[in-house]
Parts: sequence; structure tokens; C-alpha cells
Amino acid sequence: MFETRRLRTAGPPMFLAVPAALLTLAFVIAPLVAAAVMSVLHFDLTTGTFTPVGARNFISELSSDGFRRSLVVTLCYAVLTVIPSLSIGLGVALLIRNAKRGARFWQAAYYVPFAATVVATATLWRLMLTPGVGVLDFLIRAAGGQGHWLARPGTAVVALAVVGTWHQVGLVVVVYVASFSGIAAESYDAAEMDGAGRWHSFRAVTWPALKAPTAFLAALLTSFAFREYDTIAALTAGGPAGATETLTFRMWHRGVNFFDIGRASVIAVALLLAALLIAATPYVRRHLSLGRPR
Amino acid sequence: MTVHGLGRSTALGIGAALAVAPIGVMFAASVAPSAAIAAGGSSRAGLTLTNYRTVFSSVDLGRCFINSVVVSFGTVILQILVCLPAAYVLARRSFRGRRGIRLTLAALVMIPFQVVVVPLYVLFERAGLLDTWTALIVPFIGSPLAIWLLAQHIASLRHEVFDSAHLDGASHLATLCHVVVPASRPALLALGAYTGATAWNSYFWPSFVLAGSQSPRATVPFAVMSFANSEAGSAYGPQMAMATLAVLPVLILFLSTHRYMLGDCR
Repeated sequence: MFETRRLRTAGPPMFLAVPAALLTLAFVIAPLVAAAVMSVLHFDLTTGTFTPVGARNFISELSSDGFRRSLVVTLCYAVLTVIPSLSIGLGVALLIRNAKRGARFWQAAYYVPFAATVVATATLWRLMLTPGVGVLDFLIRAAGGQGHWLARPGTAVVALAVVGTWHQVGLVVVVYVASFSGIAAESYDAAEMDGAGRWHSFRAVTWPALKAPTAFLAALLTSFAFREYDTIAALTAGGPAGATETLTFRMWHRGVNFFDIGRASVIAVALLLAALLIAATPYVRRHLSLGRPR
Repeated sequence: MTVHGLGRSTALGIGAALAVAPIGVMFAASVAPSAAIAAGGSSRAGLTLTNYRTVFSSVDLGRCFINSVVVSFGTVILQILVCLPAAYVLARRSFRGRRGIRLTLAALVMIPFQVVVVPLYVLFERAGLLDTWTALIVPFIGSPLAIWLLAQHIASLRHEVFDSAHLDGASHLATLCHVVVPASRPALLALGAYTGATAWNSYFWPSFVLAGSQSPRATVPFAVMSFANSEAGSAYGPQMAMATLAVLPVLILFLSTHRYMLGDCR
């Protein structure tokens, strides 16, 4: 994988990358290091000073029931948004490709929720799920459900996942449709001449071209799931009884409500490790690498 | 149209209707009298603009819109000016540590912004930059996602394009402007749409660096949240009017430019 091939030219000069490198260092990497350092400090609210406490923040946070519950909630939310978003998005993208006309129209329609302001649509979903007022709550009850989804632990996280999926499915559609344009029509003709059926030509021609965008989308949507805050804040505020308190929400809660910056930073470090772990997965690594320079 | 094609269109139509329906509900509730919404939304008590009047009389929307426009466009333009040259280098030059940088970028893309929010807040607070456009724009200019996405796009371009530019004796800056930019137009527009929408909709970071909705730099989501918190929980009508006003400009902009951003399949 490592590039040893000599380039015909040296390529563009490095100085072009300097502004981006400096800004990324200052506003992404340095704060990351700072967050890691804060995880071994205790912030004293009365004096406004930091004192080193070693592993104390880690021990108290990682052994707490709240942290373990948040970990489970985060994983549930990630699974319940990433998999439906990817499969629905791919299905819609394939339908759009096979439709004779209106590719842009359909993409635009599915993209509308992603363009809409999250805090605004979150207040809308809260209204729709409110018993006695909301159309969605009415439909759930009409279909034999219990309704009041936001008030019950089992359904609150499902409600959040529905909102999250609704919000981002259009992005998945657009990325997949864009990647279809890279597949040469001749590949399908060739597959057809070989007598490949619909499923076989999908396996042989479409899917290989979709591996890279799928890896990219899976990584991106997982990071969306990790960072989700607005919807949770507007719909459930982490409740009922912590059932929708994801790691990110718990970190904000710890840091802002309890001014426990040390333990909030422990959660930051945990999220950082999770991100690195996923980025280091062979599948993601293989398809997220940029290939050799040509 | 074949039966098959009809089925596909129907499936697409139903899905699209589900995607757009909540926005329709929002709009409908924004022009319905609050009493009608509280009654279950079924009574037809006629349309009203009272909800919009309530919003305009209690929130300085003009100021919020200007701030959001400045922040969204400022972030998009500066991010592309800074990240595109870096992506060009990353995609087209071989240098020591390139592989490490690529993997670092991929990892950084996945890191929740919340991880860095406390140190960043301390930084801007110490620098005396709270309640400024700078605080709302600068942290997002050097974006790992933008660099990574553009680099991947440039790496996928056919290398003949670069070879002929090189043979013509074009400088790297000229190649960047006259070869990379035109060839990357769809990627740039898609990134711009993503970054712009994210900046417009952003609430988490502004809630740290802006001193409440009275801040001279308050953005639109700020108006939505402070309005939702100030009104009684049952004032759904005005809340939905506010939500509609927040969503509408982005939707209009998106729907009027989507033909340039979205690719056709063929």
C-alpha cells in the first residue's frame, strides 16, 4: 500500500497546505490534546484552578452506572440510525438511478430534511409526538401502539433514531447517487452481454463502486450518532431516567451542569478512542485511504 | 411506462412524501390558530397569520438572519479557500508522513465536535472573542472533513488532466484555479451545501460563545430555541411559525440551486 512509485513531477508545493495545517492544528488537534490533559485534572470551581488528580476522574467515571448506560444508549442510537439510514438511502438511490427521469427532483425531495434547521425540526417532532396534540402520537395509537413515545425509556431512543434517520437519509441518497455517476455505462453493457442478471450485475458492477462511499458514509454517520446533541436536547433532554443520555449528551451534562470538567473530559477521551478505533478498522482504512497520487 | 417503472415511481413518491411531510405539518401548524392545534389539529378554524405576528413582535429576526447569512457564507468561502489547496497537495504530492496524515484526517472526521468544545471555549474566552463572528466562523475553516473529501475527489480525477496542464507549463497555482476548481465543481458545491447548512443550523457551539439571544451575533437557531423556551409550552402555533421562518430560507436557497449541486445519474 505504501507509495514508493516515483512521481513524474514533485507535485504541488507544500506551502499550499500551510494555512489548513495551521488552522487544523490550532482548532482541532490542540483542543483534542487539551481535552486529554484535562481528563487527569480537577477543576476547582471556587478558585478557578486545575489540580492534577491522576486517574481519579477515570476511575470514578468509568465505574459509574451512568457511564455504562450511556455507552449502551450511544451504541443503540448508532446502530438504529446508521443501518436504517444506509439501507434506506441505498434503496432510494437505486430507485432513483433506475427511474427514467427526475433524478435531481427526487434527490432534492429526500434532501429537504437535511437542509432544515435541526432545532426547528426537533420542536416539530416533539409536537408531533405529544399525546393529544401530535399527529404521530395519534397514528401510533391508531396502529395499536401505546403512544407517548418520548416518555417511555424503550421507545424514547427509537423516537430519537427515527428523527435522526429522517434527518440524514437524504445525505446518504445524494452521496450514493453521486457515486453511481462514476460507473461507466459500458460496465453494465459488458455485464449484460455476459448474461448477468439484475442481482449479479449489482454484485459485479454496482457494489464494488459503492464500497468506498459506503465506508465513508458509515464512518460519517457513526460520527453523527456520536455527536448528536440538538435533537436529544430538544426532544428528551436525556430522559426519561437517562434512557436517551448518549455519551456526548452526558459529557455536556457533566461539564455544563456539574462543572465537572475532569469527568467530562474522560468521556471526551472515550469518544476519541472510539473514533480512532473505527477509523483503524481494516475495512474503513482500506476504503478511506486516498490511494496513491497519480 | 412499464408496470415496473410505475411501481418504482410510486415507491419513490411515497418515500419522498414521508420525507417532506413533517415540513408540511410544520407549515400547516404555523398558520393554524393555537386553539385548533391544541384540539388535535382536526378542526378547521381557518388560517391565520397571528402566529407569525407573535414571532416578529418578540424576536429580532432580521438581525438573526443577517448573522446567520454572514456566518454560513463566511464559513463556506474561507473553508474552501483554505482546504482546497491543502487537498490538492495531499492528493497530488508524495511526501513523508502522507499516509499518516490521511489516516489522522479520517480519524478526525469521526471525532465529535463536543470533544474539543471546552478547550475551544476557554481559548475564545481568554482571547476576548465571545459574541463575535470570528468565534462562530474560525474554528470551522480548517476542516478535516473538507480536506479529506476534496482530496479524495482530486485523487479520483483522471491524471491526463494534470499531465496536459503540466506539459503546457502551467504553474501549480494556475493548475489549481483552471484545472482542479472546474473539475471539482460538483464536489465543491456539495461541500458548500453541507458546510453552509451545518453553519446555518448550528446551535451547540453558538450556545457557548454567544451571550444568549440578546447577543448582537445571535443566529437563527438561537432565535428558535430562546423563543421556544420563552413561550408557554402549549404555544405551538408561534413555535411552528418560528421554525418555518428558520427553515424556509435554507430550503428556498437549496431548491433554487440544487440543479447545480446534485448530480444526474448518467
